[in-house]
This record gives sequence, C-alpha cells and structure tokens, in this order.
Amino acid sequence: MEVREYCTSEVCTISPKASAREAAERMYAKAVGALVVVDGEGRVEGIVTDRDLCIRAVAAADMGGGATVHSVMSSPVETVSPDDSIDEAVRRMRTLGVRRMPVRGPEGLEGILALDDVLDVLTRALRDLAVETRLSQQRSEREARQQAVVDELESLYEQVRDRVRSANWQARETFLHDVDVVKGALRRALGLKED
Amino acid sequence: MLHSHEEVRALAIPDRFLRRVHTIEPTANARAAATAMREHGVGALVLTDERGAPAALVTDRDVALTVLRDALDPDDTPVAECVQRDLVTLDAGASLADAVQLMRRKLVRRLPIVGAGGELVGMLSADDLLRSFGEELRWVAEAVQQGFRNEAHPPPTSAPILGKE
Repeated sequence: MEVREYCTSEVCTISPKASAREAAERMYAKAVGALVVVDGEGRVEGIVTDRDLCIRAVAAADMGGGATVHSVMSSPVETVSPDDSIDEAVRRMRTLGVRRMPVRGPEGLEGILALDDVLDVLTRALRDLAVETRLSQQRSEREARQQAVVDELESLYEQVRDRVRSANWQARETFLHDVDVVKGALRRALGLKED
Repeated sequence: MLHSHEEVRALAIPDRFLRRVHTIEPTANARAAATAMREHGVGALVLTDERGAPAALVTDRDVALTVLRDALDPDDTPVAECVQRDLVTLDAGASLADAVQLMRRKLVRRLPIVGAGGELVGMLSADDLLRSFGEELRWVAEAVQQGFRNEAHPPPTSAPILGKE
C-alpha cells in the first residue's frame, strides 16, 4: 500500500514571506491546521501549523502578527513520495513525532499525508471487514438452521410413507401425492433445489 | 465475571486514560496562555472560575487564530476572548462508549473529566482512546495469527495418545 492511496492532493500552501497573520487567515479560511511553505519556484521550504503560530508567534515576546512565516515555520521538513510504502511513511512520522508530511513527486509538491487520513482509510477498511465477517457468520448459521429443518422434514416424510404403505393402495397414492406436493413447496420456500 | 458485548464498553473510564489537565484563569492574557501551552507541551487549557470549576476550553489553534486574525495585542487580550466553543465535559463515572459518543456528537477531540463535586479530575483525548484501541486491536490480531500457526503446527499436548502406553 502506497502513500498515494492515503494522501490528499488538496494541500494548502503559503509563501515564507507572508505574515503570520496571513497564515492564520488562510488556516481559518481553508479550515486546515497546517500550510506547506513553498517559495516562488514551488520548492518546499517548510511547514507551518496552527500550533507553531501559537507557541512561536503569540508566545514569543518579540514576535506577533508582523512576524513572517519564515520565522515561525518548521524547516527543513521531511517529505514523502507518493510511491513510498505507507508503513514506512507512518513509521517515519512516528520517529519524527509529526502528524503530517508533504508529498513530493517528480514535479514538486503533490499533496500532503496526514495521520488522520491514514486512520480514516484504515478504520473504514476494518469496519467493512468486521461487517462482512459478521454477515458471513450469520449466513452460515442460517444455512445450518435451514438444513436442520429440511433433514427433520425428510425424516418425518419417510416415517409417514412407511405407515401409509400398509394402508389400501388408493388412499396411499392420494396421500403420498399430497405429501410430495407439500415437500416440493417447502423446498421452494427454503430456496433449495427440487429433489 | 463475563461481560456482554455492550457491558465491556460500558465500564467506567480507567485511570490510565486520563491525562493531567492544565488550567488558566479567564483573565490571564493570550500570551500567558500561549506560553503555558508551550511549556506544558499541551494543545489545550481549561479556563476555571474562582471556585476552580471548569468554565471553558481553549486550544492552541483558538489562541493563534483569534489573536493573529484580528491583530490583537496578546498582552492585552484576555484568554477568555479566544474561546471558540461551549464547554463539553464528561462525568468521571461515564464509560468509554459515552466518551466516544460525546466526542462524535459535539465534534470535539478533548473532554475535561469532572468529579461528583464538579471538580476537574483529568482530561481525556481522542488520541489516547485511539492508542488504547489500537493496542487492543494488535493483541486480537496477534491472537488470530497465533491461532493460524497453531492449526498448521499443533503444539504437543500432554494427553496420552491412545494405543501407546
């Protein structure tokens, strides 16, 4: 499984020269927690998160809204390629203690990989698997019950047939015919093939 | 005691899930809040009233976006002004299932936990739940895997084999 199956191509960017205030505005407008910092040539320079804005721009005595993205961003930033294995990418995120990594392809920034999205994909797959497992279990149980009903009916049928054999032949033929009709109807009702 | 499916998730939240909760007065300024979050390495603070009861929750994002977007002076802005949502808390006696449901309904990742007297006893975060569920899942997966191995190569039993004395 590759990074490309878990990352999103909708990645929000910002210039290192932009102000912290512009970064805040963009994060609010796009409802994201991180912006990938790219220079004029589209090269990835770093990443800035809402937390960076809080602990670096607001907390620091000599900074504020006028601070530039360059002064509060995390740089250099680890990136990942769309063909990298997702296991390796997640392991790197764990080692680095980050929740996001920009995805860089042959033509530059292609997207962003976020741990939350990886989680989303994996939990959906897990839920589908759990549902399917339970459904197939229920199907097996239902089939087993149906088979038990059929077995019992066939056994009853044979008992009845043996007793009827000792009665007069006209009554016997009529009765056996009726029983076959009922049996056929039951098999059809249970969705089983005709005898 | 064997618990049913529903009962297991209904057990009260174990202590190990609860993180320490960091508080701040509503009148403290935004810079103090940002500094506190940096120093304690947390993403949220609970604003408490004079009695120490929780009144609101503010996150690093709340502080950053409020101060920067409106070009407020962080030294002159009370942290209360940065609060973006109503407080959602959970009783200490609640279950994990209650916690998850509340997080989903109210769209929050953190729940301050309150005791019987309304006092703060800790903080529960979605990340902590995730880590715990993840561990349990790994144990189940390993058990399944071990089951496969046992079927392929059953371990020797101590029962005597019939016919051999």
